[in-house]
Amino acid sequence: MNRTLAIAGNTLREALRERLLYNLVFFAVAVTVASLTVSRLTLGEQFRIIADVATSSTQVFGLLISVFLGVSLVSRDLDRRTCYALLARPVSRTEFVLGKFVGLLATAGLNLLVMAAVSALALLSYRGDASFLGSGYLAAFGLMLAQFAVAVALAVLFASFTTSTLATIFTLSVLASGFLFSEVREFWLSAQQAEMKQLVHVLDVFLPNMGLLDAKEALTYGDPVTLGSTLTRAAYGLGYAAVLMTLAAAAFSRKDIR
Amino acid sequence: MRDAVHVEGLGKTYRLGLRRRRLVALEALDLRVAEGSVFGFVGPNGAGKSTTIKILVGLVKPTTGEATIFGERVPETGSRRAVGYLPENPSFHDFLRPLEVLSLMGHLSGMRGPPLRRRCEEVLSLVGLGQAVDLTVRKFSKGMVQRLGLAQAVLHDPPLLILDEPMSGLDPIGRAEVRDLILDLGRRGKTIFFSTHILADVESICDRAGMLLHGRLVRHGTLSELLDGSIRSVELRCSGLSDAAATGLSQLARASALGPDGWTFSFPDQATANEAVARVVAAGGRVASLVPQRENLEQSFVRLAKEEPSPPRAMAV
Repeated sequence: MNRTLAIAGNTLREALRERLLYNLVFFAVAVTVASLTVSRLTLGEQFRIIADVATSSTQVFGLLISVFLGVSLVSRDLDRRTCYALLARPVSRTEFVLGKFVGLLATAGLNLLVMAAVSALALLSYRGDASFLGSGYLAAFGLMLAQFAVAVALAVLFASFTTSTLATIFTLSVLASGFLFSEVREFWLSAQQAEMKQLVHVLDVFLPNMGLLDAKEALTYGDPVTLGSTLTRAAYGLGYAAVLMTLAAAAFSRKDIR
Repeated sequence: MRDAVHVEGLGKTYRLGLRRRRLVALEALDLRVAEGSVFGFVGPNGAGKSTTIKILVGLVKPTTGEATIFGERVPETGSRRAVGYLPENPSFHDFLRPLEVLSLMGHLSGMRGPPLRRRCEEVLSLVGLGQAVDLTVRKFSKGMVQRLGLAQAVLHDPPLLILDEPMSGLDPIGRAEVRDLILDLGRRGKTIFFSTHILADVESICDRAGMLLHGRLVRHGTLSELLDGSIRSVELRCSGLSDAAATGLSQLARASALGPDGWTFSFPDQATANEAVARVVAAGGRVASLVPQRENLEQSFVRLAKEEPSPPRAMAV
């Protein structure tokens, strides 16, 4: 456990030195702040516009940070051979991969905290009170961490056995498919053809249901959300990430570090 | 004395590219390195030295055979507890300072707290980086990175050091310092397994060596076993010879050359050289020197490399 944490700490430090991280966070903050002005173009929907833009920019930029940092920090260790001296220590490949995951997830978590705070300030400056800071707010931002966990795990999995370019393409493709699949899933399930139902069951296994981890509307539209439902959905995301990390550890354990 | 490293039938075949081309990097390697010895693993580039080392430290999985380190099977995590490894052209996270690199490595080896801090400072001084603690690795020269690599290898005081080209990238002073460091570690009972293609390093440091060619171990043993000590030729330098005397001596010699200080002849054995000396004296010439030439490790290696046929290393399947 200590070895995993040592690698996680080093990964976090490395990630926090990445210019890409700050560029993306800057854009996310800028978009959220800009929503204060843009929302004035609407009548009576300003809160929804600000909340929608803030949560969406947090989600999009957070996922991009998770994917790009996830892929680059694993690939770079292999390309620059910085992992040689680390892996020649009494460290298992599983501990190494897990350390990378924890460090990257901590980075995504810090980004999420910053964005959640910026979003709260934007909403507070519009509304003048903090009544929106309830279960909807917590579910929207809390479940984003589960989304980031899935994104980081996918990035680490692909980076553990292929090139950084392919790993980025694969990760973004699976994430995009996960979001699109969650949009059409119910529609396909209600279709007449039995094949569509079977396809859904297959895709349920192979694609992460990213829509299940998306609770932005709980904040934007005030949709009711219970603690039990939020925890169940978070457990699904974290469980999916755990399965991906098991596969990543297996793939990385078989890899020759040349 | 127990074996620090025991390798049996170790082989590695890489599969490259989409067509899965086979590249035989190592073939049926058998090797034993006794505890406390300094073993030089020599061979040209691409001979399989780094592949062997990477298998021993768990970076690469062997295709055939097995290896143990102090009885622990490679690549089990436990087999690496007793190992300090210096990779060829080591690389570290360049945003870290040397103490931070060593602290991370120490944590991974189970070291903690003030003893780790003290040990980090101690090994940095040992490798001559005591004045560079405030620099990040990004600002290090290649030689400084190599020294940091050595520092992390000895940090946890392992009984076995596996060093892949430890002199690489060092200037002559750095090379001498690393050589002294290895000799010192050897005197303190550490087992040292190091690869190099600079054979003079092996002759000056090692008590045993193995020669690897085309992925196969062609010779191994003590240095005296590898260098048989027999006379390969005798070189005679002389002056004041008439043309006729020189022509007569040239017929006896394997090779001859006329330089500004006189003639140099190379004879195949001592008896022929003795006869040549008598002729020089009889002809009124002066003998400047008579030196027997013995084969050194480099000559032995070059000879073996020429004798050993180069097998096809890559083939399409």
